Amino acid sequence: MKPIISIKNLVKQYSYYKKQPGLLGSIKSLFHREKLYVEAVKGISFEIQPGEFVGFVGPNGAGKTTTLKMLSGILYPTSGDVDVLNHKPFEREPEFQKQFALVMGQKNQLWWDLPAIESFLLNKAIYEIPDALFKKNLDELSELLDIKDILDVQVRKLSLGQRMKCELVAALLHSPKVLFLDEPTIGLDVISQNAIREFLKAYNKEKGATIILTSHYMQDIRRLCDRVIIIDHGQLLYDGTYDALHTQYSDSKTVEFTLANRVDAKEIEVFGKILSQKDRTFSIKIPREKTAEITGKILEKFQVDDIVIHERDIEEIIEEIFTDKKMRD
Amino acid sequence: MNKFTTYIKIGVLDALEMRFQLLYWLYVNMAPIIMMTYLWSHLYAQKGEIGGYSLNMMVTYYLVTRLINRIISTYAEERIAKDIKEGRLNQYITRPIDYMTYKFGERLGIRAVNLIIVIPIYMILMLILREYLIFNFDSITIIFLSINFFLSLILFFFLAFMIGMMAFFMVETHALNGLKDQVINLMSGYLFPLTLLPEKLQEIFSYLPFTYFYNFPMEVYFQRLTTIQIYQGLGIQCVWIIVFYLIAQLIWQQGTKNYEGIGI
Amino acid sequence: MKKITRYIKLYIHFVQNCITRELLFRTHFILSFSSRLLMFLLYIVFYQVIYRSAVAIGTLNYDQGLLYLSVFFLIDTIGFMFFIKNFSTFPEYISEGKLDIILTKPVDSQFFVSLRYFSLISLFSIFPPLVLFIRQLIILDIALTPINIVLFLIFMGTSLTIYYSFWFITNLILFWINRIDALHEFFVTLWRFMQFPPDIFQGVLRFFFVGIVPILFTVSVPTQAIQHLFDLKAISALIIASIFSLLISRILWKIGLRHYQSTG
Repeated sequence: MKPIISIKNLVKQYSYYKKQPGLLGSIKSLFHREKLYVEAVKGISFEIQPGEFVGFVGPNGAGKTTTLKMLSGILYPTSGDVDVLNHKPFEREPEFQKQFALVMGQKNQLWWDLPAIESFLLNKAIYEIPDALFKKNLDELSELLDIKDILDVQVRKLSLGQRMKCELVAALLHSPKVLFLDEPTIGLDVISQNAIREFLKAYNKEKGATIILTSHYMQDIRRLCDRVIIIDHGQLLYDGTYDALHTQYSDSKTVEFTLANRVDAKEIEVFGKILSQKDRTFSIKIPREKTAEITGKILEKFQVDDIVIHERDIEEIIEEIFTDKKMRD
Repeated sequence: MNKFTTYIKIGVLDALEMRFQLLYWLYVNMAPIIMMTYLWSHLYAQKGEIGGYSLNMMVTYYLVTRLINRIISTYAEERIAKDIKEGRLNQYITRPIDYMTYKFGERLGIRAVNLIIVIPIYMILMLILREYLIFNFDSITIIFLSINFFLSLILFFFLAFMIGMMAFFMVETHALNGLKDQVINLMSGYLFPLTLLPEKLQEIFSYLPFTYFYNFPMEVYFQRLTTIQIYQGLGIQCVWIIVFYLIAQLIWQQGTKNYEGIGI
Repeated sequence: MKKITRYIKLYIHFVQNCITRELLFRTHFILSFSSRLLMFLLYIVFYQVIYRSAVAIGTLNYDQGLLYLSVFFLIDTIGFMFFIKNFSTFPEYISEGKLDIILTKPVDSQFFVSLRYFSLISLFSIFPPLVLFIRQLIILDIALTPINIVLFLIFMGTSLTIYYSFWFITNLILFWINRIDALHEFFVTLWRFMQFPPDIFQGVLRFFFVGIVPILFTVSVPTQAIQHLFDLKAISALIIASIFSLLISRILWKIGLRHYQSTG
């Protein structure tokens, strides 16, 4: 299948001025300021197939948002190729723009002082959505997101979660084939986060829309994305399935157990590295392939009240990838 | 070669960035004065003296009144309205400080720093218009003017304070502020010297506070007033300060009474 | 043709949005209107003061002068109605990254950023100068024929095109220079020179207003057209300037977008 999105050696360079601290510094900067360059994206390549749900992961300033902005035609790439839906995004052709949508958690497109429905109607005019389709999509989306009864309320009076739901509806009214989401759940309460996740999952499944999402919340990525792309310092660190992340990067598991009697930590250490100890509860790291063997030994040797084996948190793994990378640099 | 032109471009942009703001201020201050100079030069070509003013006096009038404006404006309206609307007033009310005095001091400080930028701009302007300008370094005049500026500063601040406090009672004070500016423009002699108006109107205006912002100091500067008239003017200004102070206190009391203490 | 009707429909939508919103703030509305009205009256007083002093502006008598002033304010308020709210939003668009969403929409981005917000207050502010305009037409006993009405409207259109283009262009500086306070005043400051007839601008300034920022004839040509006066030189200068300035605004917008950094 031909990829719906493909980028090759994508680079984006920003320029900015060095800030000098203090009053003296700002007076000095009246006369001379140092111009600095920073490469937000340093040669990233990947391809995305239609219908995929991809998560962009990386720390702040890693280049996730910059990449999304180049994919949606907001920024001109400094160099490299971008291809989305067979268009060059930065040429901003209307036929292209009618096929995708961008939602940013921190920037809103709804009009603050007016009810959301006004902004929806405006988008209807902007995207030239036929009446019937508009009605169908609006009914469907507001049903799914449960916002039917707040359509006529001034946006400023809505909660953050309700506002985000409306933002999503506004972005999806024209049935985009590709959806870019930049931190859509940022700052939301848990219930709203869940509702939005459920919705996105269903939307991806039912409509077959291709979705790229960036998020700080690993929950978002784990529950939604089949594929994860990890970016740091503008470079691609990992591109693969969520599950493969575990096998590839995590050769160990965590065993957590509570003993009936008090035992010296030294006796536990022989089984694996102690990650934490709280009273009679230990948490140790053991090699993946020796899981059965070691847990067997523990059960044999001590009187165990409770034992749990789990995969390590994705946060931990990603952290490890980032620190490994730093050490290699 | 291509690289070289890029370097030049970067250099120019770099040099421009902050200096552009300075140039812009120079331009914003200069343009209206230049416009008036063109207008009045055109009019004085037909008649040597208008309303007792010569062309040079007229140009000086516009330049100095604009400079006075920069000296006596505190631009406190928006700040005070913001303090009220965003609930920041609490931190002042709960402490043993007088909000009005505090704000006055704060704005004075900020404006003083601003003058560091304004004065060079006006020096450049004076250089450009030097053929027209009338200078008066008479020490008595300077003392009178200093007193007048100081009183105007207080009066101007009280006005700003009152407008800002309207945020207690209405959502948006921006338009009210604009309206106040237009009233001042008309009655203070900011747009043209009041000597051009009918005598009757001039007399009425002399009892109002506004003329003491611009028209009065210029009359003092050109030494067109007797010492008694000057004392009279400063006296009227003092009376207005008291009146404004009382009104401001009244609004303050009413306002804080129904102040909800939270951001609206 | 289909494209034009689409954009007209879209514009009607914008206007509806804005009217709904502005009517929410009634006090603000009334105060803003009064402020605009007072400013208009202030300039009538200024014209009166000038003519009271037995001088004239150029070849115009008092009533012709007021006709000129009314046309100035007509262009000014119509221009404000369409553009002021948009151009004062430019720092948010360009320096704070609010352009992002607009750039993803299948609508011409220049159209969007120039006309998104409509100022209802300015729509009402058209009435005072319109009343003065009609009054002056009656006083000056000017015959209205289809020809002078149509030409007047056409020239108003060309003038507004120049007004728009240059105001737009000056705002684009933000693409290169990050932040300049109140940049949208840049053009307005120059534009205010036109509240006085072209006769008063001679020498360097005349050259500037013909060749560099070609607004010198924007008020005078429509004013003359309604009086059945046609200065072919000025008319051709006006038309050429309007075409070129619109083209340049288009080109600079495209170049500017390449420099857009989407920060904020």
